[in-house]
Amino acid sequence: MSTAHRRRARYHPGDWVAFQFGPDPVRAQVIENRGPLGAGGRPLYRVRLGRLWSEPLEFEVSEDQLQSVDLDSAQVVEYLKQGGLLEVLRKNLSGGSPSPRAWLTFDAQGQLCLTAQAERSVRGGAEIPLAALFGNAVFRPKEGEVVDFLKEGFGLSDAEAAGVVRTIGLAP
Amino acid sequence: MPSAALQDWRTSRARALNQVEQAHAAVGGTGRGRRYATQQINHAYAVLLASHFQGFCRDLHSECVNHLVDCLQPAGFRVTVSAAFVYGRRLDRGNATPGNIGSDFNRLGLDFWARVKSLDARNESRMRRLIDLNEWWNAIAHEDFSTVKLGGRLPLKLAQVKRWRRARHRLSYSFDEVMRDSIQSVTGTSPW
Repeated sequence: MSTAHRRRARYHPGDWVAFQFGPDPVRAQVIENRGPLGAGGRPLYRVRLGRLWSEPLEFEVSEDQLQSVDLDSAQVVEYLKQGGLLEVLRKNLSGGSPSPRAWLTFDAQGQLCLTAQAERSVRGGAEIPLAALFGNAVFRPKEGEVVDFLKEGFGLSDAEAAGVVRTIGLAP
Repeated sequence: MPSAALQDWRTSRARALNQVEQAHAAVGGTGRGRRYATQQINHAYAVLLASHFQGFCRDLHSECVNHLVDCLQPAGFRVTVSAAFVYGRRLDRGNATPGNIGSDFNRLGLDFWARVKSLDARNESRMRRLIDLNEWWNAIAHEDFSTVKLGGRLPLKLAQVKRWRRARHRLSYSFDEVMRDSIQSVTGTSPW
């Protein structure tokens, strides 16, 4: 990392940012603050941009071309309702040490997906409830635990978390 | 006015390197005689010097790329072109060898080392000192002090590291001037 940065940086390694890349708006993750190396002393950041079926691209973008990525709960709720919660709960059907955790990240096409890598995270990190799946539904005795997991891990409200569980369904 | 990279080389990077020299004097003093601890400090100094010079070269490259793409239109195209300029940049992961430096800066549309050499005839010998330090960097990193590779110059002396540092210091000014002139000839504006 450059030692040349003095002013407070707007972004930090791990932050997700959005910018125009050719014809497409994309989302990438900041991996390094390069300091005021841009024209006119503008801060530069090194970012990692995922690409489909290819290695990620790493390059530098000046701060004035970046925007923060705001992930609102509605996007997270939609992802979880569309099968994301089932995918998460399947990650801890038999336990283990340490307990598996779940994070959300953006895939190469900017869509929400699951990751086991904390450094790629845009939200998440709570321990996945153990054996909380019954077929393709939430195991009824584990309902409370799953709701708490959604609130703690993904920042959902009571109503949002309960809504996700209702959509997925309870069994038996 | 120097580039931000050169300013950093002359200030914060120089301060870090000066601290190692001060540590050397504190441990071993300035008199004659063997002081085993100072050998380790010389090794650390060499590695730190290589690291900071690589950082300077990488910073200068980033600064040059950003100045070059800043004049492109439409503005939305700048990030794409910038990404192409730094794709697979050797200075991101490799040492600041003449090959890696040349490879990365040549991508910006010039014969970099030819310009550096034409600026000052002494830059050729300074360029060779880049190779010397990199040989020592590998020896220290891999604990392989083969006298063949190191030209029989064991142990590493502080005076040698200081010579390497002076060579890099002179090269840093040449790099800065070459790139400033190159960017100005392309964009019509001095970048710094």
